[in-house]
Amino acid sequence: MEKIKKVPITRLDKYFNEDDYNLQLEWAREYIEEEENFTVILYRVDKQRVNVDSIFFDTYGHSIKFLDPVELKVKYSIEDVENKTYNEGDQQSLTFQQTGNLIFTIVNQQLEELEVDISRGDYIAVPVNETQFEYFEVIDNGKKNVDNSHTIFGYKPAFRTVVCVTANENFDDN
Amino acid sequence: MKEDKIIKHINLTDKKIGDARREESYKEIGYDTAFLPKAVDYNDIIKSFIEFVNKEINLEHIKQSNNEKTKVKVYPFEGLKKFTEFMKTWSTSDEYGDVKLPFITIIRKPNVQEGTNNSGQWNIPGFPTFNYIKIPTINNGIEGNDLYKIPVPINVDFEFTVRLFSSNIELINSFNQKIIELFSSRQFYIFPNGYPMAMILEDIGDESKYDLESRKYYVQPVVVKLMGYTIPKDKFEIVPTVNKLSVSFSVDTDVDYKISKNLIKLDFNDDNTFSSNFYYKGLTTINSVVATKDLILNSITDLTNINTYKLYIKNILIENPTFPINVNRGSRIKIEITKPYSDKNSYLNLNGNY
Repeated sequence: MEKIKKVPITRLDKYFNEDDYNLQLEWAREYIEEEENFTVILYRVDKQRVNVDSIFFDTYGHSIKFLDPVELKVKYSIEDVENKTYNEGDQQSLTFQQTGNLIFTIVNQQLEELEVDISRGDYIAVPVNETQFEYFEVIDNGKKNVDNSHTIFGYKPAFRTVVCVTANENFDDN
Repeated sequence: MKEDKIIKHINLTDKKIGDARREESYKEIGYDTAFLPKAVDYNDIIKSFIEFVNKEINLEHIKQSNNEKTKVKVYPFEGLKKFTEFMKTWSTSDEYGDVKLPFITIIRKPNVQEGTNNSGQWNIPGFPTFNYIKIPTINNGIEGNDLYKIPVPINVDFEFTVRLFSSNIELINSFNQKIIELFSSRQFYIFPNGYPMAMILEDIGDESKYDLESRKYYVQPVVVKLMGYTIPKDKFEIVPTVNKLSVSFSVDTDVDYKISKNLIKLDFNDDNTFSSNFYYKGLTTINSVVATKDLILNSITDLTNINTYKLYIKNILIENPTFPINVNRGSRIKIEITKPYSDKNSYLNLNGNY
């Protein structure tokens, strides 16, 4: 087994340490997961089990395979619905409404506890009301969260921001 | 460069040229098919192009860390679904899910154009088909030929862009050198389903990221024009041609044949009576005669090998005939019988006055 090198974090040591970080994280999770309590459902694509076409890498029918769905508590926003047209030429016609992107922030610790990861290509379902789900496809898994805004006071990264685009409910963005 | 430059494999078999090559090509097109050559469509051409990049360009790079040789991964981007993109790259991505350098992408312009393979000439209108092969057939014991006909190929021009992404200049050089070598004699052929299709090199570009404040890597796009053609499978034709005629003769040696339905006639006697012998040969069950005079039918006698009979005058059935029956001149008298022994001849006599 590969030995993982650990480097002690000593920055901000005079007024912020691991305990403070953990406390901040606990408050953040309490706010997101208990007070706000926005739930989305993560459908992870089981890429090893999906049969794809050798040329187009496309699936036949509804043969995308998924791992067990997981409920995630996140802080999300769905961008404005846009009115667009299929015909973009001289005479614009055939309008359609395109759901805005879903952008959500999630605490890394929650994913670690659930032992799941969000990958590009996975699907997210958002229950917009009691009967309607809106489906999205992950295009940015936010895994590289080394930037300052995803840390707590620059001490350590704690969050991920995931960006998803709309997908129809058959998980098929034709 | 540490690469071994000693040639390890020498091809001892000469490549076929001229008629031998044509024959080989013909066999390739017809291989594994039922007489007709294979059809060829866009998917076959695209698949063949991807194989060309994998086999002919076939780049290898050496990892700096362990000197291990690995093949440069090729990602063909057919279709723009995000899902397909992730399915292509997930197995070779790094821990963040990003594709690792170096790699090759293949992008095809979706707007395939009318072909220039035939020097811009148009096809003959109406999708005519042309003779390909004659296949002998036997239908109900009759020998003949089916003519297999094939359509004129429809020319199409594809434009592919093959890009190498790498931070290694040696790899870029190898890629460039291979491309120049492949197209050194202007054309390079690929063989979708055995059909030769020419490709020409349109452009070698440079899209490298040289910015000081961003990640630096080389991108070398190579634009290839594929002058292909499609042969739609629904345009093939199988036409039955002239079959050999089956003519047969039979000779009847039955001496009784002198009496046939055409020979049935009315025999008029001097005492104003007449008789007519109805003869039913073999399987025959119907015979008739035309009254040449006004007649009075009196009886039907001498029934031989006859169970029942039906009498028709002017094609009208006379139910339970009660003689005498008047028959006008010109009327047809028809008698239909049933036979106890269907293979034996039957007779009856029709009698009356005139």
